[in-house]
Amino acid sequence: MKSTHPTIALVGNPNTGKTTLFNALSGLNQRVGNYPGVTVETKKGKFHWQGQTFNVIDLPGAYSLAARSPDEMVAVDVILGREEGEAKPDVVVAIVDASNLERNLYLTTQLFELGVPVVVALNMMDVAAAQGITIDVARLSERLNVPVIPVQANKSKGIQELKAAVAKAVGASPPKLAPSFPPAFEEEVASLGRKLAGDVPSFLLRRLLIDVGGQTERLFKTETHNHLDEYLDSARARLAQAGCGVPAIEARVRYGWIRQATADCLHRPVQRPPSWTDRIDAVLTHRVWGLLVFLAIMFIVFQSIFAWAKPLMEAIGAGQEWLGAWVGAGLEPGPLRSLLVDGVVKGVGSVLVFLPQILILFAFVAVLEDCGYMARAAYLMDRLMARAGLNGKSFIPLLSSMACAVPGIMAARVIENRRDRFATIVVAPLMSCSARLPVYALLIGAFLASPEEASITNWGWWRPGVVLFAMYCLGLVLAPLVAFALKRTLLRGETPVFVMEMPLYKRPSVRIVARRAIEAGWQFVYRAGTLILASMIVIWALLYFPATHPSGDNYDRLLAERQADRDRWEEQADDLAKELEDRPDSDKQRQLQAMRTTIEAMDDEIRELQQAWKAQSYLGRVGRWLEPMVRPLGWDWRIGLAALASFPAREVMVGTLGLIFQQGEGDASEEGYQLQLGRRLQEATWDDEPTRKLFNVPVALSIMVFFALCCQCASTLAVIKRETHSWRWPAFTFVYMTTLAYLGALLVYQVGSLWSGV
Amino acid sequence: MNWQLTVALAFVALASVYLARRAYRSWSAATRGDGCGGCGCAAAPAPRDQSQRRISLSRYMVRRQQ
Repeated sequence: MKSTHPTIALVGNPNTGKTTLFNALSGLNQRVGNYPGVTVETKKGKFHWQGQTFNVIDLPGAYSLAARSPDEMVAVDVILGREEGEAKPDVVVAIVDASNLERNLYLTTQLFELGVPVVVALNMMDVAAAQGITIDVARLSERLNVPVIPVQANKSKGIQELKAAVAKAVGASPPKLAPSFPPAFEEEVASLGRKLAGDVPSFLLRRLLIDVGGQTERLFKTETHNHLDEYLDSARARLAQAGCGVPAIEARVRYGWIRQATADCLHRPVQRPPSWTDRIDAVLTHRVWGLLVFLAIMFIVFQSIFAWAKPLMEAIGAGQEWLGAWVGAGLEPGPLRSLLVDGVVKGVGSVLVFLPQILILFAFVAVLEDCGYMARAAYLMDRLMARAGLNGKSFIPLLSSMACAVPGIMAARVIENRRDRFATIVVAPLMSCSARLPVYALLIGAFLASPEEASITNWGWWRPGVVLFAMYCLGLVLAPLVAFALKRTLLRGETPVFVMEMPLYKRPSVRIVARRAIEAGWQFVYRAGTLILASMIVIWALLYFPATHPSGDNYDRLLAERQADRDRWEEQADDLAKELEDRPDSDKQRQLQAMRTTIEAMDDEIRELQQAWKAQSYLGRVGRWLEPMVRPLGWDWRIGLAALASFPAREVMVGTLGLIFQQGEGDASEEGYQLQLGRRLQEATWDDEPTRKLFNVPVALSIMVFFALCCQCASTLAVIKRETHSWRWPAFTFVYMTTLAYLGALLVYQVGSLWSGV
Repeated sequence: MNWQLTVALAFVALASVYLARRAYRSWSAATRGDGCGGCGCAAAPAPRDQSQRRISLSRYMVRRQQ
């Protein structure tokens, strides 16, 4: 149903603070970022002014109404009122970066021709002032013949004045001033209008002439004249002869008009002294220093994830252990207790324990985004991307994929060229997302971090950070290589030129950083409490049933009996040991020794019983069928099974390993289940060779490489299907990534085993 | 059937239904977004085919006259 409230569209160049202004107007909390392309879809909100309600739409950034990329097209269609079910805007608010006035006014002059009232919001006045730029706002308003309101959206300054101006503009007449094109051009516009017949607005006729092969041309061709090409070609040739060649004429006319309009109201220093941004950029965008700084920053981020997270992880682990003991104590041995203790508390808990690492990772990402560094990283990567046939614009989606591939793939909408966009979408899942972090952290913690070596003098301290960084780099290096292959085969096409505006550096906002980290943490907890919990319950069932021992008894009951026997023996052995401390006695010493040997035998029996149970479970049977395929990677059926089970969500791998290797009561210890899980993995042996350790460094690396490269994520495949409107691309992505992951894991295990001799 | 088994199976059934529903929504939601749910993209709208969302040129002309 059509809203009766006036609709206000926020339009502007990328990274001019549209979403910040939208948040300030509507009181909402949409995500903002200090780099272009954060908003790729429309966002809607409301604001009230003097008892009246206004609908407000935040649009993706656009430099011009000559849309090239899908996100720009969304903006243009909404502004033009061509969006189905979307009210035609009653007022357009043109957000203009005051520190870059002329270039931003280019889009504004196009808006003047749409026949809709326009209000100019002059944002970033503080930045302009810092650069010595002064703007006579009243005079600018007079020159442009529209209201111009200075605002500072991030501090909510000027918002009330803007609301008042918008309210006043509703129903007012559209701007009367606009750049005039040369008579030769206008004659062609009139002639085109006559040819097309009907009342085609002159704005559209201009776009039709100017945007060669653009959206407007495609539209008219399909909807009106199938033989429009020839006419347009000859019209453009006539314009070129008359010195009005398209598309250059538009830039010449508009910038000429803007220069005149701003001549006596814009004052900038004759010679701009180098700013802090210029000085920092000299280092951060330098081809050598910039890369070194990038590597150093990444190393610090990943090392911090390990160093800072440990105390919090231990606290969560202790809480989880307490909960497990409490639930276990309240129930008799049986399926429900096993489900709650093994499946829920240990399974989900072994994933949830990585919450501190997620918080730290996202806090760092938010700092780097908000201070303006991400755009520099994209610039640095442009060289690498260009060699792969992509451009730096692809780097932002790839970088977003480090949090999660789904928004990363959606961020590819900023890429104009379809082939480049598809190539970026297909390689984006290669970037290590936060769901892989628990897998990396578990295996690095268990096999590659050596607490006893953790001192700066013996260089052991850097290992976790370097290995984690290497895992993230793996995707970063392979993504351009895969894109290179695609751009020369399936998606052949020229490498586009990369143009990206560098945002100014600024001090990261504590609010934005905290919000991003808390949001990420909440989403991780939500995911653990929904998808991972449900997956763990189903996996538990598939590992639990059938629970009948060949003797006809129930495995659960048998294990509980054995465990109770074992605990009794241990209690007696402890009592005897205490007695021996007070009164040494050689006979009793031998008796104690025999008891210890019996306890060990009972432990072996319990372990064998557990393994036999798992092996004959439904999932165990699948795992054993799978084993020949994963054995070359150094994995047994249990690891293969955990990898297979993690298809709904990658974190499930950790939970499944917890279910398989941690079943039982669990030792009461200070380290918590997660660290216990690491220890259990260190102690695990092959079923058929009980003296041979299952996990070692090459196996751990092989698992990590497999996870770094495989596409174990149903949501990612679903979003690829949605973005490409085809089943072909998700199928292709799954096949190539699984192949790559298998080969990578195979290579790492085989070379690692040869190297280390294990 | 012992009560623990009954309750455990009820949990398993609920979890299976949840996973199936989620998988269906992820794969079939062409017009409304349903991402993985853990990354803030669950509410993200599905990409629009602009040519289908756009009103026809003739309707647009009429709309502009209003």
